[in-house]
Amino acid sequence: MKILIVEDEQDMLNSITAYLAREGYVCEIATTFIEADEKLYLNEYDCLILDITLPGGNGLDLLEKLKAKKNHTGAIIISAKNSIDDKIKGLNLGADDYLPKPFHLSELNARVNALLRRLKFEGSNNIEVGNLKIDLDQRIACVEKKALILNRKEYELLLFFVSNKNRVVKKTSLTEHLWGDSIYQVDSYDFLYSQIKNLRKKLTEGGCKADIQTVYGIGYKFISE
Amino acid sequence: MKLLHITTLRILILIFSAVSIWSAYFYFSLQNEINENIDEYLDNRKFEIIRKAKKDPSSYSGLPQTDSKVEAIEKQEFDNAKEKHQDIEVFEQLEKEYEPYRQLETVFAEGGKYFKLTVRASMMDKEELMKTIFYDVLLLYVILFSLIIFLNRVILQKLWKPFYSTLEKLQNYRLDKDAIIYFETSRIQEFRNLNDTVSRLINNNYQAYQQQKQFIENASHEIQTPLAIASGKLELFMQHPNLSSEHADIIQSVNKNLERLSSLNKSLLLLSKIDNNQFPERTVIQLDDFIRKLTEEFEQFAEYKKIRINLRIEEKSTISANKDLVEILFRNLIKNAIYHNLPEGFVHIKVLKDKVIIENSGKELQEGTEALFNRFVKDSVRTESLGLGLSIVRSIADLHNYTVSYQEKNGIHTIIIDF
Repeated sequence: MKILIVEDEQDMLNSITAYLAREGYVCEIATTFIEADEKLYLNEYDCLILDITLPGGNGLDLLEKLKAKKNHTGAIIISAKNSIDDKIKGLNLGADDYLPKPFHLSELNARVNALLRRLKFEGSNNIEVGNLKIDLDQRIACVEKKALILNRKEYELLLFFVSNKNRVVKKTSLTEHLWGDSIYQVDSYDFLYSQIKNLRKKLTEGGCKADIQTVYGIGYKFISE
Repeated sequence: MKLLHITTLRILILIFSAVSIWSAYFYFSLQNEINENIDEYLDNRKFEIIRKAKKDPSSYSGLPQTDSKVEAIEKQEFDNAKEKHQDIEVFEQLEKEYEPYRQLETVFAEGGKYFKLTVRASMMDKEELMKTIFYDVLLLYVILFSLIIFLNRVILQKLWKPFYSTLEKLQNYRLDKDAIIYFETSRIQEFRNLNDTVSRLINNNYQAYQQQKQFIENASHEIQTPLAIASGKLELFMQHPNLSSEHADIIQSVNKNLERLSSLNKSLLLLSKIDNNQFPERTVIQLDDFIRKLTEEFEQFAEYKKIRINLRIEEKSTISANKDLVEILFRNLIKNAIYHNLPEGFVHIKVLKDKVIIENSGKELQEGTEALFNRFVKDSVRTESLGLGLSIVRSIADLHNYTVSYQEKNGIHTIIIDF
């Protein structure tokens, strides 16, 4: 899988690249409009991660060019502007997702994973991790063909963990993913913990080999061999 | 008290005193004049009588006449006596009442004998005159008063009109809503000056206000990127395979503060965007469904906190509003209601026609309720809260012209959103 990351902040770019590279993706980078334009012209990518404000031009123009080529590159817009206008424009131009800055790397990773799954595995939309199998269309998680009974949030939680498996996921990343914007989710960590405890219990009882570990005070880690 | 009324009252008092003093002066000077006249007449009478008496002594020894009397007196009395004019009251037999008279008493000697002479003149005419003058003055009062009231009603009111128009415009002015204020032009220099000065003042304030708003927004934007980078790096660092618990503690602490800074930044950005009116789009929202969905989202959280959350829809209605903002508004309020609750407490949400009422149990309030909507006012016990939630609610409500009222009574907190 090849991803082009277009972002003018070098530090930000490095972080995204480092995080996604661990997932096994091939990451290429561009820091200016012209560089990105060139790379998009010369190569074909599975996914484009695009900042809107770029030196030399607007990221939305790149998106327009890309979509004119009618290939199957997925596009995720990352924008510091967080303006609804940009979001609507971007999605209208054919972007698949929009992530306002600042975001958690784990969230970006989960979205990239979800996007690539949607684009590349059209027939069987399943994820398998060890003996755990998640049917994304029917939103069912099974362990050895036996369905786990999960509520909506537990299912979303599991999916997020699976997308970021073997990674430390911050508590805030999880609360934001589950309950939306974190502006005031300050005391939701205990609540999150209780949800994770339930999920963990259901996984263990279902005979799932993967486990959710607590990583000190920072967050949680979904471990599968 | 209104300026016009005060002006009128002052003028009235002034005119009243001036006319009163003048009337008194006029009265006394007139009285003096009349007395002098009567005294002159009495002197003439006296001279007449004495002259007559010298010619014909029998004239004074006879019957006393109506206006004069001559009595014989001793020498001693004659020596002590002095001529005097005085006002007296005389009982009139015919009218059976006292009437005012002017009287002259004098003495004279004739042929070795001594006499006292008293001459009187009726002052009936003078009384009549005073009465007439009194009524005339009264008439003067009435005319003056009517003139002054007319002056107030018509002239002053017209003169002050530009002032009142300016005042009204200022009263309705809001720095966050109106940009520039236009005043009527006036021919009166003072009012023109006033308008110019106020315009300049407002303009300066408006500029400062805009700059401040812009500054907050720009600052929040600029802070976003370094924050995102720092927290990204930290997220990467967390992935380090040989993380010790000591390192994790430090990471956790840095992370916590970064997140705090980040949500502070997000809130400020949201506030400034609301204030800068950057949410112009409006959609029609089915209020009951909207609130029901939001409430459902909080059900698990409430259950976890052992708080009963209860939704009652009394009437279905729609509102036209910015959906994202209204969602933030209700999310904040419901979250607050759960968050600032007591163990085993309750949250009642009622949806009425143009109203949503959120009621919850909680601690009794220490401070005033109005301050809660100000920025950075927070419960001192919970330091992790930002203190921006309710000011965001207030800003969103202001933007949509909703009224938010809050009250607390015996530990029951009630918030009413009136659309």
